[in-house]
Amino acid sequence: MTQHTVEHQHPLSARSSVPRGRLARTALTAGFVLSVIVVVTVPLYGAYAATGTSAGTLETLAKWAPLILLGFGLNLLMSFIAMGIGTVAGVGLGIAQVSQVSWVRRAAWAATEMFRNTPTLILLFMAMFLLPFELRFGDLVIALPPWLKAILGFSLSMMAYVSEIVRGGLQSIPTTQWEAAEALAFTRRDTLRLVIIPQCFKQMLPPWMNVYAIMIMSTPLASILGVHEGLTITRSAISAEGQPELLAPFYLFLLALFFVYSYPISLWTLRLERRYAIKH
Amino acid sequence: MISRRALTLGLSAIAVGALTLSAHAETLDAVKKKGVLSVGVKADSRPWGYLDPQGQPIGMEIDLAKNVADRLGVKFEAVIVQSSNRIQFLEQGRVDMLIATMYDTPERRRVIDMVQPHYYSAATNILAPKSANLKSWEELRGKKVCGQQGSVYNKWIERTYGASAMSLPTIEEGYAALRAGNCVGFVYNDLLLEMAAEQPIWAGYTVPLKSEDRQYHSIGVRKGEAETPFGKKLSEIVIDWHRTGYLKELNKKWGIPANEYLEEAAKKYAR
Repeated sequence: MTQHTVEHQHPLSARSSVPRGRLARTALTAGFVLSVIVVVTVPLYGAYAATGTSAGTLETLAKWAPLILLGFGLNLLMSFIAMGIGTVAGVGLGIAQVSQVSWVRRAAWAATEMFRNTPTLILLFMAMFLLPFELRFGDLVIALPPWLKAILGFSLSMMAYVSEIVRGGLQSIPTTQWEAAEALAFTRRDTLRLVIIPQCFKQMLPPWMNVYAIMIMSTPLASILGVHEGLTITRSAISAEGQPELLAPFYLFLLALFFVYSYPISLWTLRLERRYAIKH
Repeated sequence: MISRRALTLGLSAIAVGALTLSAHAETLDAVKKKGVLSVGVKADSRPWGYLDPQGQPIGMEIDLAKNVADRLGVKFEAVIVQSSNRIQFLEQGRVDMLIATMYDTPERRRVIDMVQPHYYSAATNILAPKSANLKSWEELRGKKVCGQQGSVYNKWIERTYGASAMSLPTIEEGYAALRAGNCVGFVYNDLLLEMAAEQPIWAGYTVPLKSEDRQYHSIGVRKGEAETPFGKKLSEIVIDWHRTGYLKELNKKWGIPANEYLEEAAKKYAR
């Protein structure tokens, strides 16, 4: 990144003798080590605090951990796909929000505001109950299991957030850039593609990752709809064991899984934000 | 706050209006043609339906569902449902039938059919500390009781005895709330509570009252299907379960206290 050579140092980081990149890497490593420690010790402590003896509880947790991890895998899968769909649709919608055609701009704005201001849970309920369990096109049958419907619900939320990030990013580029491109006889499409988007991409990345981190946290909402993701399976496991003492360690285990996954993302976002901070 | 049930009902009403479901062939033929019987079962109601650590549903109701598939000569597919979504799963055709700890109630009969006779029965009771010294249901008026979210027992005790029910997402969270002293007792079906009360961790607790509000479980099929060959076949199977003592046997296998309804029904249908 060429920006490194011209940037002004933040007063706090200027004091540090460690180079920026290494500092960030160290922070990242430290964060990850911390996460691993947390994932191991938190359930242990929960088990200890709840029963006084951790051995039996740990064995029970070990027995269920593979299934809970599998459930957590579905949380990740839902988040990846929803992120993909939401990003593609959101970028389109965001660009439409700065369109020169007024009805396109208004429609994109309305869609963005509608989905951005609707709670994700409501979108999930809509996806769950308004869609059939399978789609039939003659002989072709496409099954729509609850997790797929949940992905649709999450995608709509994601799309609206990404749309706002893209609109904000595009509008943050000084108008002189547009004018310069116009002077060089770029079409509007080429201006966007070759001049504007490459410049705002960096600024959009950190908020995009933030939105992703928020979305992965909201995936357990799907448990309300009967999707067999991490939370649903954790509850089923507690129910199968029938012991209230297991509540704390089992929920803490799930919490630790989310933390270990999300914390590095949040550290990385912070690092990118610092690196891409606007320098004048 | 709008209850989840109301929301579910409202949204499903919209869904039913919005959907044009393809006409279903007679379910018995359809099941035999595809060679699989899909049954909606619970995974949060030990010992009737719960998960093993491999993620497979097991329990008394899963045994019953397998038995139906065996008798029809088809493979068995368990589809895990929850109280909040089981009716939609059935209506939308994701499952052919429900054996999902579901009581036969007039509200449900408006949307689906209940296979007769009932295969099971349970009533409401409460698990409370011995020190509370409960003697009658009336003593619960104005008191706080714990229950599981969306269960019929909470509504019943609020309506009948004016207790205020505190709903928790799972039974175990209800138990934990009871142990933490957040409520005077945990309301649920009497069979489960009697099983719990025998465990060492519940030493200081008891099921002190006489069970009330007896309810009966039915296999659920889509609206209008009770009178089709599928519904009639299921009805025959349930009668045979009672007659041969299969239900009593399973009840014992899963360590559930003797169920007076099963005794009565076994006598009634004995040849």
